Amino acid sequence: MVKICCIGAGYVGGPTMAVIALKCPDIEVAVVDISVPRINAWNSDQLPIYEPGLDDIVKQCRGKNLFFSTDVEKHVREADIVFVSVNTPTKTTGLGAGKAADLTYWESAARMIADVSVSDKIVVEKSTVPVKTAEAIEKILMHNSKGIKFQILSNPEFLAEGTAIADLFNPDRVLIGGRETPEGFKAVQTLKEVYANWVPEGQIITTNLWSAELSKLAANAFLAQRISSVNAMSALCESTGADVTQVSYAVGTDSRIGSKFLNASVGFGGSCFQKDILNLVYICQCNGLPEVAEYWKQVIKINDYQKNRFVNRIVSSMFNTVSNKKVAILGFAFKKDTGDTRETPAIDVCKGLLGDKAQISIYDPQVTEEQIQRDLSMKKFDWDHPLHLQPMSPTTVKQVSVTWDAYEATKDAHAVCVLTEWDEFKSLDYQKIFDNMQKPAFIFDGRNIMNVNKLREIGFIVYSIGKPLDPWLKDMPAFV
Amino acid sequence: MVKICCIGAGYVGGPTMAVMALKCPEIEVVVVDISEPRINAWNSDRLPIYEPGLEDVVKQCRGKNLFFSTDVEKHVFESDIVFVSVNTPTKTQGLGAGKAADLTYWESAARMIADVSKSSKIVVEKSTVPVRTAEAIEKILTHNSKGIEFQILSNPEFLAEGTAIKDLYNPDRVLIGGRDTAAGQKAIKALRDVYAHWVPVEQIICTNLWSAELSKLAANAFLAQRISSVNAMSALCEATGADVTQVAHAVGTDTRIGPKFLNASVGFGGSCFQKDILNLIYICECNGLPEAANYWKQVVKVNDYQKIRFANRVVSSMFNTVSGKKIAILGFAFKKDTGDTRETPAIDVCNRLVADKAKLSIYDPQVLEEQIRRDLSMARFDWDHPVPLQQIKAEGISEQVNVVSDAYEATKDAHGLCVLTEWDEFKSLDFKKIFDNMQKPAFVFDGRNVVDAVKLREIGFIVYSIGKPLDSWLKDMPAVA
Repeated sequence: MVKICCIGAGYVGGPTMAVIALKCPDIEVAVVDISVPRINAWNSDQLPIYEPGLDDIVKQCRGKNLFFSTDVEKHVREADIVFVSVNTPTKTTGLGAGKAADLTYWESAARMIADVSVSDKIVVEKSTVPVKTAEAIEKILMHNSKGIKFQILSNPEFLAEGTAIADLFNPDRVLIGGRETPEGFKAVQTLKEVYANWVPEGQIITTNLWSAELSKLAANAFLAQRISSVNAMSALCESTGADVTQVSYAVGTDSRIGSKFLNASVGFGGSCFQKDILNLVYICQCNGLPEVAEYWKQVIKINDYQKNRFVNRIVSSMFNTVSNKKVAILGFAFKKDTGDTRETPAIDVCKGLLGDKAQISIYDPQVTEEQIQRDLSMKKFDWDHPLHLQPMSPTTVKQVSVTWDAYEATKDAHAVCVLTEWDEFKSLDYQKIFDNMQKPAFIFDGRNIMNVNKLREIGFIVYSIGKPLDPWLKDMPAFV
Repeated sequence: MVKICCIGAGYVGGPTMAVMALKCPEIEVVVVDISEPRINAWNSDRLPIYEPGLEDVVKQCRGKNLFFSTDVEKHVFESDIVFVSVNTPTKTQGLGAGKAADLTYWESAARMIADVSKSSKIVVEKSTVPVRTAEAIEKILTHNSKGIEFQILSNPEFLAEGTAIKDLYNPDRVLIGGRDTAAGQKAIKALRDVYAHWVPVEQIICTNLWSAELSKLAANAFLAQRISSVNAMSALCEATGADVTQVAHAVGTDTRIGPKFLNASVGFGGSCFQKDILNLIYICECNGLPEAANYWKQVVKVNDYQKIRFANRVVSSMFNTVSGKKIAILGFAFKKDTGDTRETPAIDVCNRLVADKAKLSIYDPQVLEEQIRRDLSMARFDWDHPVPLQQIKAEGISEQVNVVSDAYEATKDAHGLCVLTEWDEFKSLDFKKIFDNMQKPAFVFDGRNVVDAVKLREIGFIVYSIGKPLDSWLKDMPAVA
């Protein structure tokens, strides 16, 4: 019986292994982690992460061929294939701070594997890592191998939060990179056979090690670039009277470009895009390619620009001051249907408004007050490090209140900002909201989900990203 | 009977109107141009442009409901819908030189329309123009209208050279922009009814005027950006040992990104991409959006970078000098199956090698010697202006450049061979024979990733393919752009 062990029971490791266990009944899968509370949660009825469909799968397989354990060394020793799915945060201090990936966790995992192994193993990079990490890991394994043979593979995961199980069941593709040696090809073949239990062979792409590592960064860079390109267009649309929705639809109907991922917004967020691009930029710089680094840096720059532009629109529209004005923030998560706030544009927008001394009142159906307070008092990139390593927030931010209800958040406010595209925001009673707000009442829609005409009829002054401007806004230009 | 007139019998106007005439037998279509030789060519058996299928269409309709004429004023006067498909080159001097579109031809067309019209007309922008051109044209028309009503529409054309007829038959979409007024909407509907003869209604997108104008520039910027992004990756692939073909395939299989237009190469070319992006950049600057301008500028920058990087690879691999060495250039057109050399990357690569005193021997199955010589001695953007206005560099390049009619002749006694266009015939050349007749070490620099690198290495070539793991020879001779 093939035995698989996965180090790291997080967002990637947990769902991926659960699906492998479900689809490969003859393989034993153990997910290990040094965090006792996390493993306990995986063994309980309250899984540590929420993904539609995940509960069912774990219930079906747990105790049969899917196990969660803190006994890392035992399971690594017994396994034929070891997936490494540990966190690779962006470095916050030292060489490459703010750009390079911190491989501390990865390196100690590799040293542990070398230590405890008594039989040949395939080691699979599952975390997103910089190109050439495999080479470093390979060196650590070889120099500590005591004659045991290790083959290292790169098998980056492309699942998206919120649709992880659907993505794992029907991936666009599975990517496996390995050494171009007979042993390397054999290892690639072994992993390919695991996926072939449910993924059509034509969708399993095998490449060399560096291509697989680079492809994950590249795919995220291309995706984020689509958003930044549309957002760059949105700024021009506002100046010229074009409508970004019409433009992106016309562009997306070109079959060479495609229609997905072309929505203008206040900016992209989430744990991967910015991190992966910064990483890509850093690798380019390390390889003496400043022009390429500069090219990809623009994707981040436009994202920051878009967030700044949004804040400036708010401030300039409200007579160039929001000092002590109540501003309601609807939505804080980086996208709808998740409570995840990592790198959410809401953080930058709120901080921008706080910098201008606004009183902000935040409502998000899934994000807790504690999380919001932590996000607004944390330094950049700190979210990606373990909680106990994060600097203590000195005080909660006093200008911020978090409410349980959109109507409370907007009561007596001068302005409403929509920062997450939650469906429930579309069906709010905006007449009621308008009646309870200060006048003139502003709405700044950072996700283009509002019915602008209806809101204008009610009496709101409305700003939608990339749409023809209200006359009010035209007279109050916002420069970044 | 509806009558359509199109001003400008060029690459866009000719094929578009021919297809319209074919698909709408009850509409009379007249293509007018002030150039007599061009109109004569359209009325002859040798059409002035080559597009697969075009001849058939023209033969079927010419003399029935499709006419070509130099009597511009008469036909504009008689028509209900006037398409304007005149050239809008990049300005080479004055305000916005090197970036802004030159609207001289457009403006005089508009003034002429206003002059000769006696009945209401719909005026359709068909040329790619900067956003808000429609507004300028509208002003010219209304201030000279003598009470006649003009409605202006934007209907940018998305056809690609080489597949124009196919693209016109089955467009991804037709885009029509007009004023958000009752009269504007009526004009949009009139034009939509024309296209609805053969394009499914749901593929006809109706927008406001500015969105339609911007969409054409945006679509070309997004397309060119895909190429620059892959090319940016190719540089990193060479540095890290990744293979850009594998990376592009892995990226393109993400359905949110899509597989098309992701081939690494020596750079994009053609008459539209660079011109449209420069135009977009200029508009961003004029609207006080330097960040957006800088963002799009990167697409052009990486394209320039890629061309320079390629030329530097050639020079650095050959012991940092190509002085007096013969280098064969296979392919000069900006893409295969066309003789079009406008903005072809071959120009920049050749100029760079010439500057390093190389002797070039160029072979392209479709491009004439005269064209190549003109391209290599012309100032930037001049290709887009009428020939009499082009400025040719004083010093000749004749002694350093040789144009031949055969790949074997081009490569004979050469030190290096550069593939700059992906012509199919280059794949089936006898590279053993080529190798035997070249100086040693013999280099192949494949700017289109079309040759079989493994096979060529077996023969004995030192091979450089863009974005592929490097030959150890090349690794030791790094090229910094």
